[in-house]
Amino acid sequence: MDKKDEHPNSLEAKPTDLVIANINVTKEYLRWNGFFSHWTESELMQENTPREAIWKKNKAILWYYPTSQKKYKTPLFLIYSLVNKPFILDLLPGESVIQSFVKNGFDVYLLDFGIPRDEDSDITVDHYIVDYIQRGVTRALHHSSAEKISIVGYCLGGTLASVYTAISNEPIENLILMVAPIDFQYFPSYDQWVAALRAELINVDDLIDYYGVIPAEFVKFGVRLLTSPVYLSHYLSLLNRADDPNYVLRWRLFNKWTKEHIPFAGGAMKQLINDFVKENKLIKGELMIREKKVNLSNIKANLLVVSSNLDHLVPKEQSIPIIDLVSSQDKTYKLLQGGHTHLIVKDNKLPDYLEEWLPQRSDPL
Amino acid sequence: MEKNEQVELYKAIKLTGFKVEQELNNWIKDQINHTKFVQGTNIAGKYYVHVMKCVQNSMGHLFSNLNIPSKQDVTNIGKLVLQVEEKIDKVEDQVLLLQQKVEGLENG
Repeated sequence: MDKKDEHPNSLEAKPTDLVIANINVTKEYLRWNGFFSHWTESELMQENTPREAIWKKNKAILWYYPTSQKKYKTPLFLIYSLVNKPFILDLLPGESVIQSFVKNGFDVYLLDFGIPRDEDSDITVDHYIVDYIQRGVTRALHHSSAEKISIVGYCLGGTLASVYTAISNEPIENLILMVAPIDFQYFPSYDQWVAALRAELINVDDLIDYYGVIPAEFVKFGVRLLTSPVYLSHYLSLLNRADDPNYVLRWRLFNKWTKEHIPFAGGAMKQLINDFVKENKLIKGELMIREKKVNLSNIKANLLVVSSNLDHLVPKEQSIPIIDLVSSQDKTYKLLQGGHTHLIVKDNKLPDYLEEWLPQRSDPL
Repeated sequence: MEKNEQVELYKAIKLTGFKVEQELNNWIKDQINHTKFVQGTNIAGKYYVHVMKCVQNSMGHLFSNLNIPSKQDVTNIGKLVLQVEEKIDKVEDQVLLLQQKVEGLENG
C-alpha cells in the first residue's frame, strides 16, 4: 500500500475547490473525512467475482470461477495460506487477482481451507495435503475435464503446493510458488529462538496441545512479532492519500484482510514447527506425508518461483533453494520489488511476472 | 502554506513514521531475541499450561456433576461428525472413480 504512486491530481486544486491561504480546504476535508471513515463507516462488504462451490469438505470449500472467454485448456488451482482468509485474491473488481485470471481466459479453482474450530485440532499437514489438496485437485480435474492443471501456491499455501506436487499422481503442468517458505534454515530475525528450538531448549507442543486450535489472535500476534511488532505506519499511508476515495476503499479492504487472521489447527502447527522449522525436513528430503517420502526432485512441472526483496515474513533465501532441488527443465525465478503481498493487479491485466510466463505454458485453445 | 508543501507535509509525516516504526521494531526484536528471554518464556509457558489444564479439568468435573456439556464434549461431537463426513467422502471418491470408468467404457 505504501509503495503506490501519487494519484495524478494530488498537486492541483480543481477550479471548484475552496482554497484559503493556499490551503486546499476541499482536499483537506476529503482527506480527513476519508481518514476517519475507517472508524466511522460500517464494515465493507466485498464483491466477489462470480463463483460456484463445487466441493465441500469439513470447513473447506473448492470454489470455481468460470471464465466467459476460455482461452487456455489448463485451469488454475489456487492454494492459499493457512493464516489468513483468501479474500485478498479477490479484493476489488478491476484489481482482483482471480478476476484478472478469469478475464484473461483461465478457469480458476480456489481451495479455501475455511476457519478451523476446536474439533479440527487433529488436522495435520498430511490431512491438508492428501485429504484437502489432492482431493480438491482431483475434483477440479474432473469438473473441468482438463488433462493438466496449474497449481499456484501463496505463502504457506506454496509450501503445501510444493509438498503436494512432489507426491502427487495428478498431471501438474505448472507450479507457481508465490513468496513460499521452503528452506527454513534461514531466518532473518529471532535466531536465538530458532537455535533454542533446534537445541530442544524450548518445546511448544504442550502449549499447542492445550489450545488444540491456536486462536486467531495468537496467530496474528505471531505474524506481527515476525514482521512488525509495532504496526501503525499504514495509518500514515492512509492519511497521505485519504482524499482519494478509491485508495481509501482499497486501504480499508486490505486493512481488514491484514487484521483477519484465522485459527490454526494444532496438529498442523506442531508439524510445521517440528518437521519444517526445527528439522527442515522438506529441504533435506526427509519429510513423510502418509508414509510417502516427499522428495522435491519428483517435481517435474514447469516451475515459477516468485519472491520479494522487502519481504520480512518470507525472505527470498527461504524460497530460492527449491529451484536447485526440482527436476523441472523449465525453471524461472522472479524477484519483485516490495513486501510480502503482491496480490493487487491493475485493470484486470495479469500480474507482470505472469503476463508472458503463464499463457505460454497453459495450452492455448 | 504552498499547495505542494501541503502534499509534501503528509508525505514527510509518512516517511518519518515508517522510519521510526522500523527502528522501534528492530529494537523490540533485538530485546526479545535473547537466550534468557527464550528460557523465561519457555518456563512461563509450562506453568501456564499446567495451571490452565488443572482449571480445565476442574471445570470438566464440575460440568459433569451439573449435567452440563463442557466445551470438550461439544468438540468430541464435532469430531464424530468429521469421522462420518470422512467416510462419506471416501464413498463419494469411489463413485467418482466408477463414474469415470463407466464414461471411459461408454466412449469406447
